Amino acid sequence: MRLNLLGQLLSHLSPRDSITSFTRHVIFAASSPTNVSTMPPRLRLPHFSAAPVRTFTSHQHPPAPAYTPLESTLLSTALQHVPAHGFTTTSLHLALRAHNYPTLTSSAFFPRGAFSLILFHLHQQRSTLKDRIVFPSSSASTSSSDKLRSLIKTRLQGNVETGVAERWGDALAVMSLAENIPESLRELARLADELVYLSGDTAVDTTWYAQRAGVAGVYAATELFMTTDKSSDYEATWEFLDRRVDDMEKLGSVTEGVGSYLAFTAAAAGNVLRSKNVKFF
Amino acid sequence: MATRSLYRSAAAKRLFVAAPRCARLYSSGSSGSSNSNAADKETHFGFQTVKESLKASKVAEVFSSVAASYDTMNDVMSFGIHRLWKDHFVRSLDPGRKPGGQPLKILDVAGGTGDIAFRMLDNAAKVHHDFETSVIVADINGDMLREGEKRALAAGYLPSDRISFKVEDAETLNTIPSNSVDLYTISFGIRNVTRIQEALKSAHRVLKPGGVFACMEFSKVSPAPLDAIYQQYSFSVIPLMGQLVAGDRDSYQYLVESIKRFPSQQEFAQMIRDAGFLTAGRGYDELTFGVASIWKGIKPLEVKK
Repeated sequence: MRLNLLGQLLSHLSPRDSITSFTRHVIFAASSPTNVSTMPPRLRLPHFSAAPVRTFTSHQHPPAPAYTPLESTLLSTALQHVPAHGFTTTSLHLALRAHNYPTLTSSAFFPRGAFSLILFHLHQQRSTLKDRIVFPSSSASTSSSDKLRSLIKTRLQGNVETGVAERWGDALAVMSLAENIPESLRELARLADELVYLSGDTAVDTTWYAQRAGVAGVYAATELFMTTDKSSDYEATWEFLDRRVDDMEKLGSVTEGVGSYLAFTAAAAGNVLRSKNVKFF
Repeated sequence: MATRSLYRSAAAKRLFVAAPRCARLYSSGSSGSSNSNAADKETHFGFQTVKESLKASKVAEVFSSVAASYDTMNDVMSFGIHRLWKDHFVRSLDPGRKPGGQPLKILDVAGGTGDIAFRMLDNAAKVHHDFETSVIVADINGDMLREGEKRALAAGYLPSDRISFKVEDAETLNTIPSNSVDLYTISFGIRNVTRIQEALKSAHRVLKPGGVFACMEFSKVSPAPLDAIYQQYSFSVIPLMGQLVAGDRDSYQYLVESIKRFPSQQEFAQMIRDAGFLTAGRGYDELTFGVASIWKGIKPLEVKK
């Protein structure tokens, strides 16, 4: 009898049981939104959006496609009109007409107007970059800055191949509008990340930020230079790119040098103080 | 002069009518039991739960009582921002005959006082020099429509065939033929519809393939600190202003409660997709930190079987 009672008590206290009943309770509470919504506002828990947010990235899990097939079709068609009509709503309207949609749908399909078209181009170029450039497997000897150089060049040549290079100045102007700056910078960061990753740099130490910032700076400067480049086949742009990549290399070695100089000086100063028997820490 | 008399009548209403109306609006259970059957489903009216058959009449009551002071109150409550939202809504849709296109048939549901309809006609006329695009203003509430008609006459949109007013239930849209409308708009109205999904289905029915569904409605504010301020404002200040300016606290209490009960941006975008519309990206655009949002959907050219 007593044993039985003890057994009951134990089963009642067993951690597993208490945890499952707790989780069941929590799950029940979370899965009954009708209950929650009938509660008066003061009693309600803060509402968290149900959309799953992935806080990690992995090359083993390709990201979900950013555009539906219909959107891709429409925007690709619109891109073909860019050489003639620029990054404008006219290009979007022509694409809609080509696919039998009334132009009224323009604002529903492309809420950000011309900027939607620019973002699509940037997204296309970024996501196809890894297929357009393949480094030979024996490229261990190629330095990462040489790889970066050819990656940035391939990316910018994408603008030339699609015929939008002549119109890219307009696109940069649209991207620099206040409402579009956050998304433009985000896209630049994603591109820099892609470029660094493809160049074979997988470091996750503090150089992660420096490297991406440097690459983004070089890319943005070259892109801007390209809009005013009138030389044949953009020769001047590629020379400009060479100089910027060299600069970045030099800057990298200078920061490294300055860093080790400061570390050495600090250590030496500490030693001098110690030799004078000064207690400083 | 007009505003003064409006205020005086509002004040009189406040003094004598507030208490009985309060009882009428908020004692749903007993008053509704006589004419509703047992199988009638329940829905919400602000924070209350009422029979589905009763919600429409309750909403009608609210809007009949606010029809005259509707615009003044909108200006006072939103500091005039609602005009910017409406302008943005119409400008983003850019209705009107485009070169090589046809004049549009627009259906503005729950558009009683004509706010959106007049703006769309102006856009068509001034931007596209199009005087053939026509708007049907549909509303379930005759009082609101009469207010709109009065304004249309005063502003010179009537008499003409560019605009017409119809009493119409958003859930059924009985007299609107299928596949007949280029643009369906509903601005600050869908919140008051009893069965929102039915209204979306009707919108899908009346739109031509390739037609646009556009909805502007109050939504959830983020970030959280701003939301806290917004909740304070809407639950303490707006009913008070309703009492002072329109002489009707309960209607504005319903307003803020119904805003609170409306689904979030993401949920409503999903409801639009469920009704068969295509949406681009996340399907909505937020205005003023999400105090209001605009959802747009497109009826696909080939309807999925």
